[in-house]
Amino acid sequence: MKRWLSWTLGVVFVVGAWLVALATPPEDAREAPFTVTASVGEEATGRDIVATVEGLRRADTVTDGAWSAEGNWLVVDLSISSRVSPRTLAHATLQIGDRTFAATERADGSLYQQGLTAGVPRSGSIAFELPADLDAETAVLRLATLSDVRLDSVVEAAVPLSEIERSGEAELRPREWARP
Amino acid sequence: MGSAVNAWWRRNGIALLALAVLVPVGGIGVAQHERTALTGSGKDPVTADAAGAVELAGITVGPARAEFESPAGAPDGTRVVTVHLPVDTHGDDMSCLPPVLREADGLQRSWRESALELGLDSFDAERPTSCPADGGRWFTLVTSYLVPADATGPFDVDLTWADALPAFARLRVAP
Amino acid sequence: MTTPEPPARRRASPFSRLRAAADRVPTKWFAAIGTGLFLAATAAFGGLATAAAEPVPELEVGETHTGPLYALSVDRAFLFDELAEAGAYPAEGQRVLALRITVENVWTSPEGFSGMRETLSVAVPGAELTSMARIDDATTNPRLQPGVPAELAVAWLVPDDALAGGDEVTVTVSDPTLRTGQAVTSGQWWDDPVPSARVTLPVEYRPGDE
Repeated sequence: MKRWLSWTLGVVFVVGAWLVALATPPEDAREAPFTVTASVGEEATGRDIVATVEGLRRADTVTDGAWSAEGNWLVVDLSISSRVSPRTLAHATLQIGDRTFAATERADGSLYQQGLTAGVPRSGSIAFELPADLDAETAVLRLATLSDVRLDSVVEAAVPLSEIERSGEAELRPREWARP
Repeated sequence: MGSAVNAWWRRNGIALLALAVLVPVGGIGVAQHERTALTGSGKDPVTADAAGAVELAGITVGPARAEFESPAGAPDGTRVVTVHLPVDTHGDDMSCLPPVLREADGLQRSWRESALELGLDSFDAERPTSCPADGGRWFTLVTSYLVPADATGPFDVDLTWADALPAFARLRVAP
Repeated sequence: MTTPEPPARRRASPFSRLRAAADRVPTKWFAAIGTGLFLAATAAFGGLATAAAEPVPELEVGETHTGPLYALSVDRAFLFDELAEAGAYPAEGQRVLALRITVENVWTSPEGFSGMRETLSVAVPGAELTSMARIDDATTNPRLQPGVPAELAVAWLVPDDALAGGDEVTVTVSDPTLRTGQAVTSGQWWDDPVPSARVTLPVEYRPGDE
């Protein structure tokens, strides 16, 4: 084979390999969750989860009956049910940059880790305790029925943190069957 | 060249035959074992006979009956299915979780009993939701399920107990 | 059949001379030469003896040590007969050693008791780390969110005779390493604590519980 031809082919193959490497999904893409994107007020349906984010509030103090706590709180009001079988809201996280926050377990009246009933939504709130010096503009809320979200449905919603007004106090909505 | 290949087949024929038989058998065996181990809640439903009862592992379950109710605690767009499930243990010990209600068709949605969330008294000894430790030979499980209004039935009521695994009792109800 | 090519001319490159020289060294000398080189290299790096453990820096009471997971300070130490509020249930012949700490999760995801297990230990014979709880609302087994400091009570069950009020207790703060699951394991967890700071403080005895 002519020398210039073999050199050109060699270069073409190397470039091709580089392009293939670029297009290759990362290691954990095999097990990535199935994401359902939702906007506030819109119902999102996953494999076995149906969730509507109904409100987003920020406050310096969060109360739930007799319990209260100070901090930099984000309260998410939501209605949530499962689609087919009895489930739990086992995964409720907020991702801000490279940090992940989990819904607080400190408020007994929140919807976090509560049971979900097929076809019958439950309404209430979950709350996230955030660092005092947080200055991020956006965050991503993720809800799922298994704490390990690999290969499971995850409802995802964008949270425009900087656009939510921060008040002095926010009370968690009572946990109850949702009124249609 | 050809005769060498044939000789190879002849020498290894029995081994290959053994593989062809054992590998699928082994694979099926492992798969069956895993299915049982993973579900835990039984995988072989045993359905009712003509009289509506299930005889399984020495226990008689059923016939079951169910009715729709609309108690005060249930929100709009929902109703409650209350299931009465008689059990005859024939004197054996039996412990079980509350039975699960499942749609017989459609999405086959399923529900766990929710007396607590409905504000019903789930600790009433006259209306046990799971097999009582000192229930004697006969008792009737009374369980309530909050279901959406579009769940019209018919339903299956699944009762699982340890001695019956991997089988469980499945009874049909049409409230 | 191709015509045989003329033999390639031996080029006097440095490699060919080296190879010729190497060919002349008896094979059995290689082992000795290799060992000699290895010993020389290790001598250059400080020898084969186990490195003496660096002394762990002493921390003041209330001074913060920042590790990869938690930045914490040990504020007070208490000895209780029981401390159900913190999730500590001593058996016969045991009491509760509780440390009051201020801690902040400086990692990027929530972590709780399992991370604390790899971070704090006490030099009390027979001590078992049993639980931790928030001081403000008594939440047991709390999950610490990144960047949000909290005051916690961390409790060990200790034998009755191991500690008395007024004794000094030495607490070791370690830096764990984040391990990521590979192959058949998944997720991340903290492991391999390396002692990185030590604080000694007096134990205050509180009869009953408080």
